[in-house]
Amino acid sequence: MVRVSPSLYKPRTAKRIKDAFARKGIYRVGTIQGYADAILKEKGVEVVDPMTYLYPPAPEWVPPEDIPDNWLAKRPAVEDVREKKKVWHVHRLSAFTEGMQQACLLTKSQLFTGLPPAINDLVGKYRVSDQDDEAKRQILASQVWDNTREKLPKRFDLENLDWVFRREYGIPENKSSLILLNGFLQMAQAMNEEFPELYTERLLVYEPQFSTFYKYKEDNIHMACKFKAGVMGSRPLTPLGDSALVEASKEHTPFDMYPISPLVDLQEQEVLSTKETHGFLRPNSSVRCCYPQLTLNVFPGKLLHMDKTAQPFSFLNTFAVAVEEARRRFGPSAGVLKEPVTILNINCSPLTFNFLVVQLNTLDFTSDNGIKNFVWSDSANHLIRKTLCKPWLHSKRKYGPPKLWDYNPQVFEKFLAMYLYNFASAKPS
Amino acid sequence: MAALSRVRHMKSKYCIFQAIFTSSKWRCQFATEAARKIDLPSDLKDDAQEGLPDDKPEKGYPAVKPWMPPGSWGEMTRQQAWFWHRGEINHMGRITHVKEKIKFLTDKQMVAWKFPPINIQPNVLKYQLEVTNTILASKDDKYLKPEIYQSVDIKTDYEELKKLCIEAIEIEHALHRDKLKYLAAAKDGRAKSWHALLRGRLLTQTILNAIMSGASRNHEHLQSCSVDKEVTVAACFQRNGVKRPWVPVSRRSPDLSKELYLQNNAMFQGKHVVDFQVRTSLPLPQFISPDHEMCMQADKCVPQYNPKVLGQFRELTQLEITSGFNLGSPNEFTHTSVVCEQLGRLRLVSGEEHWEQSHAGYGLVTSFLSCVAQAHVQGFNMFQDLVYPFTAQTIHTDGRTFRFSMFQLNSLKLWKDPKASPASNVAWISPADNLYEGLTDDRVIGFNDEVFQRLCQCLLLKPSSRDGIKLNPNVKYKAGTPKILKSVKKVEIEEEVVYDR
Repeated sequence: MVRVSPSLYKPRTAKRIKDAFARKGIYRVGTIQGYADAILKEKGVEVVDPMTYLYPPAPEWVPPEDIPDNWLAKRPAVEDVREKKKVWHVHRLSAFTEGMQQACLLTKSQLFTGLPPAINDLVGKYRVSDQDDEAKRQILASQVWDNTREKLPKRFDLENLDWVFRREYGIPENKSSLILLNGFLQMAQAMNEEFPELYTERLLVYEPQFSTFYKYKEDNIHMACKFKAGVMGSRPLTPLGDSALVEASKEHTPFDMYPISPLVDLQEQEVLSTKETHGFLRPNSSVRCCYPQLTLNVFPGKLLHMDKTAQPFSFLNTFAVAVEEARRRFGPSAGVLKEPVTILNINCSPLTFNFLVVQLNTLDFTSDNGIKNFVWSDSANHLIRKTLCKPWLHSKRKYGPPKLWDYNPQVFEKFLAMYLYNFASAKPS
Repeated sequence: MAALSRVRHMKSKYCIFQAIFTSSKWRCQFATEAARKIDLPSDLKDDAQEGLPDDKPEKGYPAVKPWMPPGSWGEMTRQQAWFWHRGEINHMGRITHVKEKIKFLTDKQMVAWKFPPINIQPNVLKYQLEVTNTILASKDDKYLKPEIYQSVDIKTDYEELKKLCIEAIEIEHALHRDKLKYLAAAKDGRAKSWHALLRGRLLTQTILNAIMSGASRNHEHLQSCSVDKEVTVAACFQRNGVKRPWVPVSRRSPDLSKELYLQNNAMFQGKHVVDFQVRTSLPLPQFISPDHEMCMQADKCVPQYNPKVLGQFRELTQLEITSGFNLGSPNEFTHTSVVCEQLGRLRLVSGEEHWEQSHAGYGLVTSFLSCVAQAHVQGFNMFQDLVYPFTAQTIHTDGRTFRFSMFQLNSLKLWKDPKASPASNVAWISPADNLYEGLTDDRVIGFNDEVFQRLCQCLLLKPSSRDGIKLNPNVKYKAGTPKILKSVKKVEIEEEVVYDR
């Protein structure tokens, strides 16, 4: 047996010793050939392998006697007998073939372009102090002043595909959109001084989530999403389409995308039939501000066709929130609603804002006839224009900061109008 | 032949002389003797220092510069003192741009002691107080907050804000959140720390928004402040009395660089992510006068042990100083920092006493790094000391448990020993207390008014212009603000028609 002293226990020396043991063979008891083995046996000296002192072998395992003979038999597979149903899931990355028209088909809705007149009249009527300067400061905070340094996706320029851009670090688009959204909300909340009800009758919540499905003809459409922020109020929003408009919607003919099915861009999934649907709040919760009024979301800035990607997705999710709200107030099997449910939506990228108003008039989706739901869509409101550097045009191939152009003040005016709806009148006193 | 042999002899002597002359030892000696004869530039000369008792002119050589530079240097040697003085006058004094100042300090990679706010080693609070040169203001273990908070007016809006806060807590608990059911990972250990952190952040954000939006009508600083989420705050500083973690081999010889090798101070680098940061264009008021006796106790804050002994780490790192934003933003001063990590797993594993030290130290170091970073943004640094004290407040919460930390930074010259710089910093750390006990039937029970008052006082503390003094006296040029440009449409003339008359 060899005991290595501490002075020899340095990594390099120990490694050499171990290498030597490995190369020159492991000492095994009884393998010595020659005189030593016999002599040691005569003298009664017990020879022990030193490695067994350090790493003693495990005792031999003897199986117990009371194990049944069929202990190796496989357990019968338990079949999942729970009821499942097929649903069509609205995925975040789905691009709708026919855009908003397809989403209107799925929701039995009538599409109106632009904001409704009641909100349009509020645009530009009220202003925050130093509105334009503050809005520009929020834009710069989201683009320049935030000190996040994350790896940005490598970019390419269509004007010069041969140019290989170096790795860039900065603010990712998702965070930039969030900073801008929070900044605009903070600016809008400055109107609390003029309209005190804005902070007594409303609460801003972050990342509210919902999960619901409803029956569209014979298919179940499933939506589950998490908004970035939501405004909950103590009373529901006043409907924007009056009863005459609701009655006139019976005459509206829905968009026909035959032979393509409206479910073409949705994902087929299986969910448990007992899966619970829920809105923002847990069932039987008794908070005062329990009516969702405004939902806010962000989408990537690189989406080119907002009417086919961001807007339909936001519309369907806001519609789902309205469906859950209607079920909570009027019951799950209500057809035409006594009082329409209205929810507003603002979704944005770092440079563009889209506005939506959803009015749910009926929960009857069995056929395309009858009263329709309403949706007002105002998309592609460009807040600013951003140009990135083109190093190949510079004599020293220099990378410069991006430039921001053409601030559009009307975008924040629309944002403020959406925020103030139901709390401010179109005619200032 | 004789002449040639004489030349050869001279040449060999010259070679020997050259070999001796070019050796480092003789070179240094020759250089120092030659330097004494050179007339130094006027900015290093100090005529007022001639004739002082410290002046020791060499026999036969006139005194070119005084023995020690102006100011107090304690136990520093002459070379070390002149090294720092040269840094202040020749290098930092000539840089007038904030960005260049910060670049001068951080444009290097070096081995520094890591100084993170979240430090899970045992008995860490004493070490953090010593390194930050801080006196903890407490009397018989009773929490004392700065007197300035008594002047914050919260009575006018108190009932409304309380109602909003309670509603915010109730609605946050009423929201459907799939995985984020539990608020804290303590005691039962069922919840995952990461989920508890996310839940705490959401609840904190809802409460802060409710209070700030409700109070912004009567408090101007809440209307124009910037509220940023998940920002990086980093700062580096040199501290006296701590052994350097590692000196490059090329600089270990005393002959080559005495200034660097023999100094008894080491670089620390602290960096972390603050969950919410409220920034304003003016600084917070000072909590205590810099002449107070608590601000002059640097001799009680001498580091006792090598950080290695206390389980601290060192790393080769790029030095960094950032105050939570890129230069150019008008809101440069941090009003409040909010951090949400409660170290629940540490509490579960290591016990209350260990957790209390690390939890209190988290708020302390967050405030300290915030103050140091703010000071650098205003042009102050280890060469150019503060003209007014910087203050910071940190709220350490997960929405239910609150701890308040206040800090006042009086001096950045932490590299000087206590004899040379007796100024110390002061901190106030409150015990951790619950804002509410729980919820029953969607209603808050056990609402703690004292904690809510402290929270309101923190958020509604008004920034001050510090009696009109110049907030950045060492800075001439600040970072420019990029503008949003207006594009001009070019009118292209396709064809010009000239008519004959």
